[in-house]
Amino acid sequence: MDLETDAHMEGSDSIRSFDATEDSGNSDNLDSWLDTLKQCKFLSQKNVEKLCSMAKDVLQYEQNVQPVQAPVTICGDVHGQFHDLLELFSVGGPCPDTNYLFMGDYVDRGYYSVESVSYLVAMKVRYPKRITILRGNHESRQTTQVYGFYDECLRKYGNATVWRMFTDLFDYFPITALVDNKIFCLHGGLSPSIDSIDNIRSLNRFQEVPHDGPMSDLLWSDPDERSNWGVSPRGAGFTFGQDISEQFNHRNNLSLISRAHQLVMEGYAWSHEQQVVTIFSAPNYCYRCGNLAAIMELDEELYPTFLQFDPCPRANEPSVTRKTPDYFL
Amino acid sequence: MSFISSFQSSLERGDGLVFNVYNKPAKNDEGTLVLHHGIGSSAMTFALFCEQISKINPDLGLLLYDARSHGRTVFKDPEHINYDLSLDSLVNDLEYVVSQMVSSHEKLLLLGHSMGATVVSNAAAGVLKTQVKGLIVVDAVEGYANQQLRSMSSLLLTWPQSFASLDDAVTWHLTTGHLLRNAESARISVPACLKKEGDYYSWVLDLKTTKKWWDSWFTNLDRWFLSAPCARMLVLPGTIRLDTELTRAQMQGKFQMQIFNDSGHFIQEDIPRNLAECVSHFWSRNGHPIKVIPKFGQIRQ
Repeated sequence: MDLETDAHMEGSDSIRSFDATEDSGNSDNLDSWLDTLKQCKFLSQKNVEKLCSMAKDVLQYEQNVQPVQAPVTICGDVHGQFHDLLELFSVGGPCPDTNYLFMGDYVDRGYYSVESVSYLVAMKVRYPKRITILRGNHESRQTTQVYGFYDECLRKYGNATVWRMFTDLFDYFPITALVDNKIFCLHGGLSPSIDSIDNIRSLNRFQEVPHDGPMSDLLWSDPDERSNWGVSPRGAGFTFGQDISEQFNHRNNLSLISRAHQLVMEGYAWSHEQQVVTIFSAPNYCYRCGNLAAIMELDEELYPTFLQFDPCPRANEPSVTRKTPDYFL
Repeated sequence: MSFISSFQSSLERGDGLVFNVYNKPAKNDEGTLVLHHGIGSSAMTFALFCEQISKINPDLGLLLYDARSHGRTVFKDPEHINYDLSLDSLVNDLEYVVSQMVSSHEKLLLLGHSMGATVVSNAAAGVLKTQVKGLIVVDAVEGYANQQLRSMSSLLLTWPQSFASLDDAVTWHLTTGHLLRNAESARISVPACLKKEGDYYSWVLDLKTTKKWWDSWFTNLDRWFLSAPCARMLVLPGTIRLDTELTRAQMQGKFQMQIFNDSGHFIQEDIPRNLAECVSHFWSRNGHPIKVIPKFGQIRQ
């Protein structure tokens, strides 16, 4: 709780001095790493190792329900679309002038997972009070081995060490955040084993995302038009109806559940009569879905403004070469 | 003798079509898994998979058969062979076999490989929808299939017309043909696709003669898969095959996806144990009323 109070008391000036004193040995490094990454060049393996070790020092003290203060801009899935991530910061305003909260899924599917997650982690270490990065269901060893991050690390570094360093780091990411005690933010959705925010505080989050149970549900569940809990079509987590969202928000004195995890064509979508909002920040997901991306700005009064954006213009993405045709009858 | 051979029987229909069927009845209301192979293959493509899933879930019923013009399914009268391999005919065949072998009250889990996926998806969204509680598509994606079909004719030209021996045929499937990766499975599945003609073994079905149906075989697969009113799973040997429709739907959480990067197109043959575990887990989640009672709120049935 002391940490939280400190965070609330820090103004922008004291943040700068905090960085200058606490991070003095590293901020030069970090700034040059950020410059490198901004050009879509990935860091050396040695620097990734340093970065992950610094990030662990920061993230281990964050809470399962990390307190965040408004104003803050809330973002959804990124999925390795690095050029669009830079576009996101140009639409939302540069960090640290704007506070950011990312709700997971930085890696997999897009071609620049390494650059995207390196950039966000470096930002986190550089401006720990200005940016919050939560864990998504793709920040896991198992998922990244299937959906691209593992292969990308092998391709870019020639071995799996960087993948191992990042996936070890993912175990430290907080799993939810709470903006001014009113807006509950997480990647997926609610869990039938969790009826109060305090239940989340008692979880041990420092582990691989489990196959089932409360931590898995928080990263996998989806809101649904049908009431009550349902078996999720995804094979993990649950679906939850408006009655469940209402109960949860009422019991925990919340005004809104903010989550990501699902592609929405406008980049954001309300559900459950504005008890739940979905935010998705990867435009034209997988370079083919034709969707807009969005981020949600919350002002000091927690009033939301949605900023939508298109894919940023760029040279063609590298096309993955295909071998001889497959038999397919 | 493969495990599944002991469940073999013949099923003759009024039009003279004699299905070569394998049926292992379900126990304790566990439901029946109905399997449909792709074009050019046969029920034996599922031989090792069936053995594995029966070890994991002995109560689960199994029903599979050689489709018309495939394997050992034949027309009784050689004068009256119906070569029609249209989707409608294949779906009618499926409906017929299921109606003859399984009670109409039994819950079904349908699994189709390759073009067999279009057959089971069409049935799950249509004629069998009241009975089907789960639908599994193994390596079939509409957009990707239609793209691959453009080069299918030239690919087939590189295939031998016949083999000097069954061993040669098995070896070709595992090496030059790049079709199969599991020798144990190939030794069971490959002979079932061949017939002896003089000194040689030739294909039961000449795939080049099926070209007129290619365009229609995968059309609407995505739509039927996504509209089937049951739990759905897509099993693929790599994410690259996803088309736009399915990428969107997957990211909206509309179905379960399982990727096996270490397999080729015939997932049920290359890694039968892994697929059996995955199918069994899917059925334990979706084939039964939920066992966990959530702490707050009620669970939907």
